[in-house]
Amino acid sequence: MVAKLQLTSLIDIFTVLLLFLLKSLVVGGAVVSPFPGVTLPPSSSTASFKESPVVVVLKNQIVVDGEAVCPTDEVTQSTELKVAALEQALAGVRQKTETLAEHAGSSRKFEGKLILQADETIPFHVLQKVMYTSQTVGFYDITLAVIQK
Amino acid sequence: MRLRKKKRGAGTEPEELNLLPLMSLFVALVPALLYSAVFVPVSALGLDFPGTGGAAGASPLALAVRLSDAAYAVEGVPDSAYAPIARDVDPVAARTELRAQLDGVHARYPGSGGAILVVSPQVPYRDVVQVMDEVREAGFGNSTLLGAAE
Repeated sequence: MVAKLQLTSLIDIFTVLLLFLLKSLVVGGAVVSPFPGVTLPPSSSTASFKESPVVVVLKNQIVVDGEAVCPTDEVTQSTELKVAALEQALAGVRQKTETLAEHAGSSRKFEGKLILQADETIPFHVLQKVMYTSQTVGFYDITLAVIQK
Repeated sequence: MRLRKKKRGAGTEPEELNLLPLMSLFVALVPALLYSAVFVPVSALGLDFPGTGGAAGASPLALAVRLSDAAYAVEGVPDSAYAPIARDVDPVAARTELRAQLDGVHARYPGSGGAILVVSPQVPYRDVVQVMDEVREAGFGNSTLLGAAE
């Protein structure tokens, strides 16, 4: 007698999993996940992102494309609008994008787009400094990342 | 003459469905969907900056919403003066009142788009996003952010 594999229960699991995944599927636009440790503010916006570099403003540090750039306290206490360390990091990102564009053609050219993920408790003047610094490097198209209500 | 129904399959075992092709499909689909699924729905909130040609710059109405630690204030509406709304006591009621004022302005100037948000330095980011939501939902589109002097 040959034992047969009973697949019906596995099919049931897969069907439920498939339906759940289809519900949380993002069609079009870039997939952005919140950076670990950041609590994004809730919003009713449902717009999607375009692929861009990400600046994260955490309670304790500022992160550009996954690398810590400077402590947030330093920016909070500074009286200047421009944040030198952030400017340097963003200039590096821009240069990298432009170098890639030279090699890959016009499809990946620098468009000045930036995604800003900031903790909901961060005071506005810190964000103002971050946005001002980003603009001085050429990132004029800033999109805020928020949690969909 | 009596017709007798012939019993089909009598005495034979029921045929089993071949589920292996369906399994193969699921095994391919699930990782593909897992890759593009978002479990925390993060969405984008657009904003304009002064001098970058946003909606507020092109609008005939120079609507400004002042956001301080203690109050909201709607400004820049011709022939109208709105009283500031205290937001430190009951923030939810204050937002409702702000929304009512914005709806009223949009009803009077339906063609206007964009508003300038003048934000005090110590206001938390969460509150800024809340006001941006109210402005957008009232029909003014993206907000232009401006820092208020301390």
